[in-house]
Amino acid sequence: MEIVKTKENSSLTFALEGRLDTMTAPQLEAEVNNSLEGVTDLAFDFAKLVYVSSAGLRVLLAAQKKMNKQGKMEVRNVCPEIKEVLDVTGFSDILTIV
Amino acid sequence: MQNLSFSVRRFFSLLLSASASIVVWLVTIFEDTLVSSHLLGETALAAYTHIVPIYSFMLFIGTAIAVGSSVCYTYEIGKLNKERAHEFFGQAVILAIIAGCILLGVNTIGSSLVLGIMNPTADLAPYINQFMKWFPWVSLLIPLSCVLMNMVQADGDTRIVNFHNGILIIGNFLLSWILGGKYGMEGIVLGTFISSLVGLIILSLHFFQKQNSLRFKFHLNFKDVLVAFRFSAVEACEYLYLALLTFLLSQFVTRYFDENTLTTLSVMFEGLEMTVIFGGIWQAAEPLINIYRAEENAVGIRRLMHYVNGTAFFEGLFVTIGTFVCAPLLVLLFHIQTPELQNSTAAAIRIASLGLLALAFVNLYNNYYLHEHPWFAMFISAMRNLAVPVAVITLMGIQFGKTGLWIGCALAPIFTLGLCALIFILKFGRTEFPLFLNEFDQNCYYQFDYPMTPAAIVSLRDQVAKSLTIEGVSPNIRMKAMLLIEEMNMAFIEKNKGKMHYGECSLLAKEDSVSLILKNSGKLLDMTNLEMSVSNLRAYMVTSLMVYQEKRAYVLTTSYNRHVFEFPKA
Repeated sequence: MEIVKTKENSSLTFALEGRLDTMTAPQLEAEVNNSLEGVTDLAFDFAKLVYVSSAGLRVLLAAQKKMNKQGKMEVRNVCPEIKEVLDVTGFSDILTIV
Repeated sequence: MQNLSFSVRRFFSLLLSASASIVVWLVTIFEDTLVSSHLLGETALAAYTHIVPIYSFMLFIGTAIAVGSSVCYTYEIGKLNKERAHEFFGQAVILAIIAGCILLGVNTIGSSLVLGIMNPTADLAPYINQFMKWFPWVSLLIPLSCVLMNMVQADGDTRIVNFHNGILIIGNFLLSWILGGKYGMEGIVLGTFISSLVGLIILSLHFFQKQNSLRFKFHLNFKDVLVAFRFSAVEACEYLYLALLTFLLSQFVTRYFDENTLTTLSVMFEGLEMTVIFGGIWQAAEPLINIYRAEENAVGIRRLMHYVNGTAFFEGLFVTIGTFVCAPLLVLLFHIQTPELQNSTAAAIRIASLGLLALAFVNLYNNYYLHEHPWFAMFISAMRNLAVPVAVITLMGIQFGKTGLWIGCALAPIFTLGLCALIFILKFGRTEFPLFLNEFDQNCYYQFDYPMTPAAIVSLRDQVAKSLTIEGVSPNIRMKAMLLIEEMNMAFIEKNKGKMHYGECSLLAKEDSVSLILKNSGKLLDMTNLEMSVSNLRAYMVTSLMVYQEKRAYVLTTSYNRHVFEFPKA
C-alpha cells in the first residue's frame, strides 16, 4: 500500500493506494501516530484504495477516537465496495464519510 | 515436509493409526495363538487353529457393518448432510449391537453346534470348550469395536485410536499371559475380553472430545442398510474368494506336489494375511478422498492421490525388502523344523515377495473404485483374490514345477494390475484412467494450500481475488470473499498462537454461483455461529459478514474446521 501524506497548516490528508489490510495497517498506524500532533482536520482519501479489512478499520477507529478530542476527521472518495463494508460493520455511522 | 499440502498432512497423520487399526485384531489373534502355544503347548496351538476361522467370521461381521457405514458417513459429511451422516452412524451402532447380541446368543446357546461343525479330536475338545466359555462375550464386543474404531478413525481422532490400539495389543498380550498361566485357555480368552472391553471404553472417550462430530441418531432403514453394505460387499467377498483360493490351490498342490510343498503354501497364505497392512493406506486416505468426492473436487483428489500412490510405492517396497530379508525368520515363526524345508520355504517366500509392490497398488485401487464403481471393484477383487492367482500359479506350477508355483505367486499381482488397467482403459476409456475424474473435471476448481501465517493469508486472499475476477464475479462479492478469507484465517491465527497450522482454500465456480471452502487444523471454531463471543474488532467483522452471508455452513470434518460459503456471481 502506498501512503501519500499532505499537510497544510493544521490539516492533514492521507491518500491511500492499494489494500489496507493485516500487513499494511501497521504502516499506516505508525504514520498516523507520528503525525497527529497539532492536527485539527484529518482526512483519509480512499480514491485509490481498493480494499480494507478489520486491521485497517482499527486504525481508522483509533484515529477517529483521537480526533474526537482535537478536531474532526473524514473519509473521502470511498468506492461502493468499501462503502458496503463500512455499512455492514456499522462504521459508516461512526466515521464521517464524504 | 514444509511444502506438504493440508490434506496430505492430514493423510500422513491418519496413516499410522489406520495401518495399526487394520492389523490390530489380527495381531490380537496372533498374540493369543503365541501365548497358547508357549503356555499350554502344541495341542492348545492346534485347538487355536480350529478357533481362528470363528474369530475371522466375527471380524467379517464387524467389518461388513463398519466399512460401508464409515464410507457413507464421510461422504454425507462431505456433502454437508450432517443429519444423514448421523443417521448412518446411528444405524451402524444399532446394527453392531444387534449383531453382537446375535453372536453372543449363537456362541452361547449354539456352542455345541459350533463344536459339532469343527469336529475336533478328543484331545483338542477340552481346549475348545474352555475357549467357548468367554468367547461369546468377546463376540458381543467385536462388531461394536469395529464400528467405533472405523468411525472414530474417520472422525480424525488418531490419538484415541492409537491409544485404543496400544491398549488392545499390549493389554491383551499381558492379560492373556497372566490369566492364561492361571486359568489356561479360558484365561487367554478372558484376557482378550477384558482388553477389548477396555478398548471399547477408550474409543467411547472420543464422544467427550471437542472434535467429536459423531452424533447418535436412532435410524434403521432397510434401504440404507443396503446402501452401506454395498460398500462392504467387496470386503465381504474377499473372504469368500480367499477361502476358495486356499481350497483350489491346496487341492492342486496335494494332487501334483508333495506334502512339504503344501506346508510351504500354508506358510505363504499365513503371510498373505499380513498384507492387509496395505489396506491402512486407503483407510487413511478414504475420509479425505470422500470429502473431495462430495465436493466434486478433482484437483484435491489428484493432489492427494499423488501422495497416496507414493505411500503405496514406498510401503510396498519396504514390505517387499522386509519379507525378502526376514524370510528365514518368518519360517522359524511357523515352527518349521526340517532344515531342508526351512530353506525351500524361505526361498519360496523370497520369490513370492517380489509381487508385493504390485499387490499394494492393486489393493489401493480396488478400494478406490469401491465408491464410484462397486461392480468394477468387485471384478478387481475377484481377479486379484481368485481368478488370476489360480490361473497363473497353476499354469506356472504345471510348466515349471515347484519353483514355478512361487514365481506364479509373485507374478499374480503383477498380472492382475496389468490386466485390470487394460480392462479399465478398454471399458471406461483412457481419459478416465485411473481415477474416474472426467465428470469432476468439468467443474472449475481452484485450490490453494497455505501455512497459517499473515503473509501467506494475504497472498492467498489476492490469489482468490484474481480467480474470482477471471470467473466474472462482481466486485462487491469479490470483496466479501476476500474479507472472509483474511478475517477468518487471521482470527484462527489469534486463537492458535504459538503453533503453526495449515489450511486449504478451494473455490468452485459454477454457472451463476461460487462456492468457497476453507479448511484448517488447529482449535475447533465455528465462525458461522452468530452467537460466537465478540472480543475484538476482527471477531466483530467476522460476525458482521456472517449476518449478511445467508449460504454458510460449518462442518467439523475428520477433526478439522471446514467452512463452506456460497455466493452469487453478481
